[in-house]
Formats: sequence, structure tokens, C-alpha cells
Amino acid sequence: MNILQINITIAQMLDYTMPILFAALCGVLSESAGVVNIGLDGIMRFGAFFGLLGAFFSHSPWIGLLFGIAIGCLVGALHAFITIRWNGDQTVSGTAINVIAVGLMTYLLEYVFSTTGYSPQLQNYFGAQAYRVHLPFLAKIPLLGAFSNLSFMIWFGFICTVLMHVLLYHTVLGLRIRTCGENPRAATTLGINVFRIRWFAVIVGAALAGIGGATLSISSFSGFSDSMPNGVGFIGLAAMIFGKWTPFGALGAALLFGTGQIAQSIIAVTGIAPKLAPGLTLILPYVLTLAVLAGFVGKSIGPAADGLPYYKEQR
Amino acid sequence: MSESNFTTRFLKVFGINNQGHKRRDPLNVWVPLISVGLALIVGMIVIAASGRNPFRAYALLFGDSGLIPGGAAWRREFAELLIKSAMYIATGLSVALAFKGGLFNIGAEGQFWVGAIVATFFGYWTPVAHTFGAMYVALGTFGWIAQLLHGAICIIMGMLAGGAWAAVAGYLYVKRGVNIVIGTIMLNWIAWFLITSWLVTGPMTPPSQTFTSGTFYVADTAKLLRIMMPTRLNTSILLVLLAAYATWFLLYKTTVGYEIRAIGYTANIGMEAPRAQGINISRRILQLMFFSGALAALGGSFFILGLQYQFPNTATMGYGWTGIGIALIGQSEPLGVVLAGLFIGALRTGATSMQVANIPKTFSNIIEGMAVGFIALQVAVRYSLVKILQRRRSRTDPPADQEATT
Repeated sequence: MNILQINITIAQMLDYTMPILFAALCGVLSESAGVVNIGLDGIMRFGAFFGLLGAFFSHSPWIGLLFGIAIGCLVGALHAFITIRWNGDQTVSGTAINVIAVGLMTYLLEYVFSTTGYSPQLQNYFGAQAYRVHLPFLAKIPLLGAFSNLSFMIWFGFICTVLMHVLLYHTVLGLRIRTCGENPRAATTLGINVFRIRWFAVIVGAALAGIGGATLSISSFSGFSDSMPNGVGFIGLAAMIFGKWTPFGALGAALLFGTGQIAQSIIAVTGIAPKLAPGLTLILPYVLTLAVLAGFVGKSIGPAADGLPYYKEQR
Repeated sequence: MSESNFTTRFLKVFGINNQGHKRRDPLNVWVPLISVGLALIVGMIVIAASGRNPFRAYALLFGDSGLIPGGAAWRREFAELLIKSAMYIATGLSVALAFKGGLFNIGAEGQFWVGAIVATFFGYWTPVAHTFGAMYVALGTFGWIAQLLHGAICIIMGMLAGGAWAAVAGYLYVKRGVNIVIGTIMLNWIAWFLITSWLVTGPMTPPSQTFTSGTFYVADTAKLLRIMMPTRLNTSILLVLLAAYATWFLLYKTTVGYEIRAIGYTANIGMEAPRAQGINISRRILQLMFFSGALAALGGSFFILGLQYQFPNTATMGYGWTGIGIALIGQSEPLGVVLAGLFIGALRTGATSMQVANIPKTFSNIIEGMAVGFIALQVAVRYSLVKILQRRRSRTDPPADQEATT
């Protein structure tokens, strides 16, 4: 395995990592404010389809990205409306979003493109050479060479992680968001509008999940397939927990799980453990997450008020 | 009308009556019905918005759903409806039972597939298959006994495995404090990838076949008996009705069920009351998860023994997720789950015919998802229902209105 192969593998791994990372960041933001979003798999499906739709008809992936953000915000607003405005069960609402996403995207795929299974392929997508971020000075350095020719979305993922970290831990708004997740009653006594903060966190978070979906269809791949996102949202959920509800933790977990996703091809190339069953590498994220939650490996504890509807007048 | 009387009535509409008991509240029936109705209306709007005729689509949907007798293909459609419903009712019961104990078993999906793969294994595993094959031949006209026993063993083993799979989540919750929703989601995907990416494409595939062919086929003795020739209808619907009755009996006629409900009623407020009563909560939760997983696995064994006769390589997820919707529409009551399961089964059966009108068969997912969404919004639905009831009352009964406004 030479340097070039390693570089290609790293780039490929990053391609798999980013959708997971965006989903995990969605979870981090929304759960920091105390709203569980199980529907992020469904939101990613919305984002993947609408991202493709925008990119396909405008011939520009940037419009696709905007479409992904917009649909993410819309579905996030629906989740917020159900769970924050009407105190609906957050898990039930998320399940509804997942189920609707399965049916509606297949319906729209058939309606818009008259195809089943796959959308037409895009010519202009973030993975295409013209839209990649070229950093020629890195190309000569071993390992860093992998970063010389990456899709814009990969850099955007890193930027979002840093921004999320700054937002959550170095701004007043971030402190308020975390207060709403830990102890909404205390937040209210300090004059914070818990509902408004939660609306903000859920919608911005869902926009990130929408970006994650769009990353799948207009960056990692050049089209929408009916099986998307194929559980990536749930891997994101696992990455969020494995990363202990922090942005950088989520990044690390997403990198690890992204590697797990392409472990099969690495195994094939390097010849390490050829007898290893493919299923065993695919379950890695979930097993690790359970181990962390159960305290077998470290301990991961979420925000205290995570998943609880907030009633202002209740004692 | 005195004020206290009005208050009682008002509270009653919100599901709170003097006994503090929610079962007799009429809105518990109306909320799911209205949710499904609204979902059907939204589905119509979706069809109309995409430039198709919603009335033609719905005529196809319900005409071929097997619900309305008559027509040449009715027997076949009715059989398909019951076959599909049996699996959905099983996962629905699984989720509903866990709901009754205050647990959200989102892992019915994984338990379903664990049940399916274990039932497949005991269906084709040579020692078992040969024993019952020999027994079938030896018994002659009483061969159905061998069929009964082999089928029962497959189903029971599947249920035990599914129950054990769910009990893992229960154990992690009870002993390690892992949130049951997260735990069951993770176990879902672990089961799914272990089965589809490893077992079905590896150890359980016939050696002469390609990796796309799925597992071995189960022996003839393991297949569920067909009860309405020439259709595919098999005994699964009878078994699932039995399971529904058993669930009802467990919940409302046994001590364990009473304790499970006591835990469920107080799940949001720390379960102090059942603990003070001396109920071993950890143990009950473990048992509850086991029963719940076993019910989902029952559906999985129907999928294999009644429908596919092998674990196909093309299996797609969705039975457990549908079960969540069914449990919610059925308000977690066994009877409600059976009715909701029949309705969803009918939708799924009819949806295949909608392809004639260029509507993909996943359309039924839209209806299901919308119905679940409206149930998540049930506070809003209840609120607007109460508003409508009040307005009607004020129109027919002005004095009451005066009292309500003061």
C-alpha cells in the first residue's frame, strides 16, 4: 500500500465521515437544548433528495446545498412545532418524520424524475474536479496530501464543527442553549425563553442534518438513490453519543465510524484479516456506542433534561 | 348546570375523570381515528398536488385492499391483507406492550429480524429438519402433527431469541442506565448488519449458490399450514390473534400485567408508587422487554415460515417501524392494535395496486407517517376537539356557554 493509495483511502474515508458528522452535529445542537431528534435520519433523506433536486435543475451544487438547508429548516420546524409548541413526544415525532421521509421521497423521486431506485446522475456536484478545493502545496507532503484535493463539503464539515464548538462553549447563546438542556427551570428563572432557544436549536440542528443529507447526494455521491441515507442518520446519533455530546467528540467519533464504513475496502486492499466478516465492521459504531453508554469503556452522559418536554407552569 | 359538573365534564374530555382512569375516555378512540382521517386527507392533497386524480387513486387503494368484499380478486387480496396484517400486528403488539410498561421499544425491528433468522435456522437445520421429516413419513395420515411440532419449535425458538435480544436492551437499561430508546436503536442495527451482511451472505448460504441467493430454504414440515386454498393465507393470522388475546390477558388479568401497568403509569414520575408496593421493578422491566421482543420475533417467524420460506437477500427494514405506528394508532390496547394492524395491512395491500395510477407503493408510508405525526400532535388535536365541542355546546345550550365564559 503506497502513499497514493493511503491518500485515496483517507479522502474516501472523509467522504463517508461528513454525512455522519453533520448528523451528529445536528444531534449535538438539538440535544444540548434538550430536544431529542430521532428523525434526523428522515431529515437527511429530505436533504439528500432536495439537495439533488436543486443541484439538478440549477446545474449548480451551491443551489443544491441551499435547498438542503431550506428543507432541513422546514422539517426541523415541524419537529419543533410538534415537540415544543405542543409538547408532543419527541421520539414519536422523530419516528413520524422517518416514516414520512421513506414514503414521500420515493413518491417525489417517481413524480419528478419518473424513475424508481435512482435519480439521474449529476454532472456538477461537489465531488467533481471543478468544485473541489485545490491546495497544491499540500500535495507533496505524505498523509497531508490527502487534503490537497477534497470536496468543499468536507472542509465545510470541519468549519461547522469549530463553529459549533465556539457557539456552544464560548458564546452567551451557547451557555443558554446548554442551560435549556440541563435545567430549563433554572433557565426560565434567569429570564431565558426556553421555548425560543429550543426552537432555534432544533431548526439550526435540522438544517445541519439537511446539509448532511445533501452531502450524501451532491458530494459523496453524484445522485440520489432510494436507499439513502441507509441508516447514516442513526450512525450520526451513535457518533453524537460516542462523542459525549460535544462537537469535537462528534468529529472524532464520525472519523472512527467513517473508517468503519470503508473498513471492508481497506481490508480488501491491504489483505489484513481477509476472513473478517463484513457485518462485523459495520456493527462497530453501534457496539462501541452501547459500550460507552453502559460504562464499559469510559462513560457518556447526556444533558440532564434531554428528551423531556418543558411545561412552564409545572412545579 | 353547576360549575363542578361542568368542570368534571371538561376534565373528562381531556381524558381525566373522577377515577383518574383514562380508559373510558371517548377521545382515546377519536384521536387515532381523526389522526388517520387527517392523514388520508393530507395523502389526497399530496396526490392532487402532483397532478393526479386523488379519487381514482383512493378507489384503487381501497378497492384492492381486501377490505371490501366482491370482485374477482377479492379472496386473494383478503388473504394478502391478513398475511401482511399478521406481521404488523405482531410488531404492533410488541411496541404496545412495552408502551404499557412505560418503555419505548423502538427495537421491534431488530427483534423481528432476530426472530426471523432463528426461525429460518431451525427450519432448515439438518438434525431438526430430518427428525421431523422422518416423523412426517412415519406418522402417515397424522403427518400434520410433525408439521405442527416443527413449526412450533421454529416459532418458539425465534421468540426466545427475539425476547433475549430485547432483554439485552432491558438489562442495559436496568443495570447500566442506558436509555431504552438509544439501546434498542443500536441493537436494531447490530442485528440488521449481523444478519444481512454476515449470516445471510455467509454461514447460512448454501455453498453451491451465489451470495445473492439468501439462506437455505426451510423444510416443508416447518412451513405454516395454509388455511384457505388456493390463496397464500396461512395460520399466522390465527396465531397473532391468539397472541393479542394473550397480551390482553397478561396486561389486564394477571398480577404481572397489573405491575407492568403500575410501572407504566408512574414511569414519568420516578415509579415511587410501585416501588413502595414492593414490586421488583428491574425484574418486571426485564420480563416486559422479553415479552415485547418475543412478540416482535413472532412476526419475524411469520415472515419466514409463512411467506418467504428462507431469509431472502432482498429483505428490507420497516416492519418494526410500522409496528410503532400501529401501536400508537391502536392506543397501545391489544384490540386497538389488531384493528390498526388490519388497517395498515389493508393500506399496504391496496398500495400495490396504486402503481397502476403511477403512485409508488411506498405511498402507504406517507399515510402511516402522517397518522403518527398527528398522534404526536395529539395535545393539539385534543385541544381543537374540545374547542369544537364547546362551540357546539354554546350554540345548543346558551346558559352553559355563559357559565363557561364567566
